[in-house]
Amino acid sequence: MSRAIVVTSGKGGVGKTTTSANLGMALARLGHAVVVIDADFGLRNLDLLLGLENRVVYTALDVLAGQCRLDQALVKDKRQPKLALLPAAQNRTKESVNARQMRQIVRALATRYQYILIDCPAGIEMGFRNAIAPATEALIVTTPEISAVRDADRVVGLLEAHGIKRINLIINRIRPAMVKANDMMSVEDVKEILAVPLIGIVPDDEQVIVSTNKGEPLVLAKEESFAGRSFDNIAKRLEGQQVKFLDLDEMNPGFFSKLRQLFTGKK
Amino acid sequence: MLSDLIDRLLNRSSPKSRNEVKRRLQQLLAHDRTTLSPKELEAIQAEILEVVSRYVELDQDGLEFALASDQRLTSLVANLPIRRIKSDDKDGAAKRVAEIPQEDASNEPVPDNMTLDLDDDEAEIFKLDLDPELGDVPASEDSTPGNSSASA
Repeated sequence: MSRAIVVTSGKGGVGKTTTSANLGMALARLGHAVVVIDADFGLRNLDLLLGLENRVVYTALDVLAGQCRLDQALVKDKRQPKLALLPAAQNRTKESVNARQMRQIVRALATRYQYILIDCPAGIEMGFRNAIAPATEALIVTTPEISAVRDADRVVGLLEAHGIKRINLIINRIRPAMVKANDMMSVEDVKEILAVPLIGIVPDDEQVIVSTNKGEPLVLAKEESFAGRSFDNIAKRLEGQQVKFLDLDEMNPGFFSKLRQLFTGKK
Repeated sequence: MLSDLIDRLLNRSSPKSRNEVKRRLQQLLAHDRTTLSPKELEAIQAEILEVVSRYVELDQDGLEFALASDQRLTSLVANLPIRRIKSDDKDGAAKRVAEIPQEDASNEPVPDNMTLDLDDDEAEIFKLDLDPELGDVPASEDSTPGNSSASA
C-alpha cells in the first residue's frame, strides 16, 4: 500500500522543500522505498537540497513527452538506495503539466514505492492544483508568523474542498527563546488557530543552512542537530509510531550550540 | 553571550507581540474562512438593523458586527446597543415589544440584546439613558444604508 503525500504551505520560503528532502531521506533510512517528486516546474530546488543536481538527466516532463522511461528520469540516491528523486523541468512553466498527468505519474510510481512525497510549489494556482491532485494525504508546513499561518489556513481549506482528509501540521522555525519572551506564537497557539493535528515541531536551526550548502539532508549529518532529529521524529510519526515532541525549553540559543558539541561524535 | 543577555533583557521589557499577532490572526482567519463576500455581509448587516430598528432605537455609534472563528467554525457576532424601546404603536411594533418576556420586575422595558459575547462594557451600554434632545429626533426607520434591494 502506497501513500502519496503532498508537502504544501501556501506561502513560499517556509520550508516545504527542506521538509520534503529530509522526510524523504528519513523515511528511506527507516527502510521504506521512497520517491520524492519535485512538483515545482520552472523553479526546481529539491535536487539541490538532496545534492543530486548533477545527476539529473531527464525530468518528469521528458517522461510525459515520451522521450524517456519513468525509471530513466528517476535519480537514485547513492547514499541511500531506497530514496529516489523525480526532478521537475527547470526550463518550463507550471502550465506545462496538468493534474491528469500528475496522477498518471504517481499511479505508476505507486507500484514500486511505499512513500511518494510531492514537493508542492508556493501559491494556490495551477502548480498547487497539479501537486495536490494525486495526493491522498497532506503535510502543511508553516512557521509561527502571521502571513505563513494565514496562507496555511487557506491551503487547509482548499485541501479539504479537494477531498484530502488526512492533513497534518508541521510547525517550522520555532524559536524557543522568542516564544518564552512572548514575542513569537507558540506551537500551541498555531495549533489552536489552525485546528489541524500536529505531526512535528522543527526548531529554527542554523544547521539547516549548512546542510543546504552541502546538499546533504540534516538527517544524514554525522553531527546530530535538533532540526534533523525533528525530521526523524516526523518520519516515525508518519509510520504510526508514537514519538514524544522535542522539549523546546532545552533549546534556547546558548544551550543550543553547547548541546550540539555534546552530541558530536555520539550517536 | 553578553549581547545575548542584553537582547533578552530588552525583549522582556518591550510590549509583547505574541498576543497581538494571535488576535490579528484570529480576526483575519474569521474573515478568510467565511465564504460571504463583503457585499453580502453588508446586506445581512443592513437587514438585521432594519428589523431590529422596527422595535427599538439603536445607538448607531455603538453598533458592532464581527466575524469570529473557533475550531474552523465561523460565527457572526453582532452587538447592537439599544437606546430605547419604541413606544409609538401605529404599526403594532409596540404591541410586539410588549410580548417580549421581561425578566425584570421594573416597569422599564428590559433592552433586548443581540450580542453573543457579553462582556462588562455592555452592561454599561444599556445603562445609557436617553438624551432628552436626541429623544425628539425621529427614528430613522427607512434609511438603513445599502438596503435598496433588500427591503421587503
